[in-house]
Amino acid sequence: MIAQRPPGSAPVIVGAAAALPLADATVDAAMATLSLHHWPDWRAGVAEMLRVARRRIVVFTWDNRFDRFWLTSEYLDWLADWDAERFPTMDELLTELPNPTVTAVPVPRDCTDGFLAAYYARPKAYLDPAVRQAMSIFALAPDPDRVAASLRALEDDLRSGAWDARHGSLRHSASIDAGYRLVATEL
Amino acid sequence: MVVDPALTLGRLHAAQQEFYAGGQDGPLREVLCPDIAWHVPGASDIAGIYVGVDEVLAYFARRRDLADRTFQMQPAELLSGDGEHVATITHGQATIAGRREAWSTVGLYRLRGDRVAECRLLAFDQTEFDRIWTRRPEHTPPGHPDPAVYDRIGSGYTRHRQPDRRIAAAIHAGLGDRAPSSTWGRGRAPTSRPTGA
Repeated sequence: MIAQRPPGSAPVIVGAAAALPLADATVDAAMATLSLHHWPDWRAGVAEMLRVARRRIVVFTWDNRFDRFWLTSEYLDWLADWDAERFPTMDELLTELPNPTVTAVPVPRDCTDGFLAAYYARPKAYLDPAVRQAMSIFALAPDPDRVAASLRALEDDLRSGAWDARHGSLRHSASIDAGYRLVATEL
Repeated sequence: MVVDPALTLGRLHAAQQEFYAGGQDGPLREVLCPDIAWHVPGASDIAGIYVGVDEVLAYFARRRDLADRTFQMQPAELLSGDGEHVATITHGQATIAGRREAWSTVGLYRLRGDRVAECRLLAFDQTEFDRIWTRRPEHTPPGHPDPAVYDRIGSGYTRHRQPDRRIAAAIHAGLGDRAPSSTWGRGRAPTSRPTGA
């Protein structure tokens, strides 16, 4: 991931979320974007953000109690169950932060950052293996054969028009709330 | 004294081969200048600038140990001109962590007399070289990122994970910025700010 950054990007220090290689209060803000669910101990990582930041903590994450969108409710519910276990609940996360504010971050119809819900209005994209490989839920999926079977159902529904009959209006929506949340804390 | 660079590099490569296979370091000491500087760019476990014979030998030993004495070098073309620098294309292979690996480099050497004064190791594919020469522990120690996870996610981000300007704006607002930065990187964070984790 580091090697894919363009020239001129911010400096990178490789370290563990639970043991940031920074002294106390050495950065203005600590930020994590769709990252907590990859940490072996997210609470320890949040504690480290609080330790190194002087002013703000910003966590962009997903509320695993939020209603799922069509992909994860109708086709990949079993995989979404597995994925949800990796995230803290919003209540758990808020408990670890002083005076947090939570803001819903809608997913635009033409979102350029291909995380799981980014293609909610472009369903065919989920059939592209390269698109899926850039999403951790698929890159780490425990049962690739079952993923393929689930996606065949989507492919069938797209071909028959069944998907459009149920969700076609999404193709023209501006955005949806898929449970992505920005949690900010001023220190 | 004019020394044929091919002879000096031939001695160096023979000495390296012997050492990587588990041999002694005597022949290497004979071909390296006392102030030898060995540059290994990149982000792998072996990246760094090694100065002096002892540091360079420790670097060779690290490569030998990472490859468990399976490291083999195949020197190919030698390119030389009028100056003190010569370059060799070298193909390497080794079994590292149970996996057969192969890579190619240009070694850009500066020679002094019949010894090597400096080397810059320039990989054909630096990203691949870094991957090959970075050790992945079988068991993740507590408090360290799980390398298995980070090896398995994050592919194709250049194409499929471009920052979205509207989500960027929301994140900037959370950070207390007045306006979104216009310079966003391809990672998961604005290029204008260092990020942890």
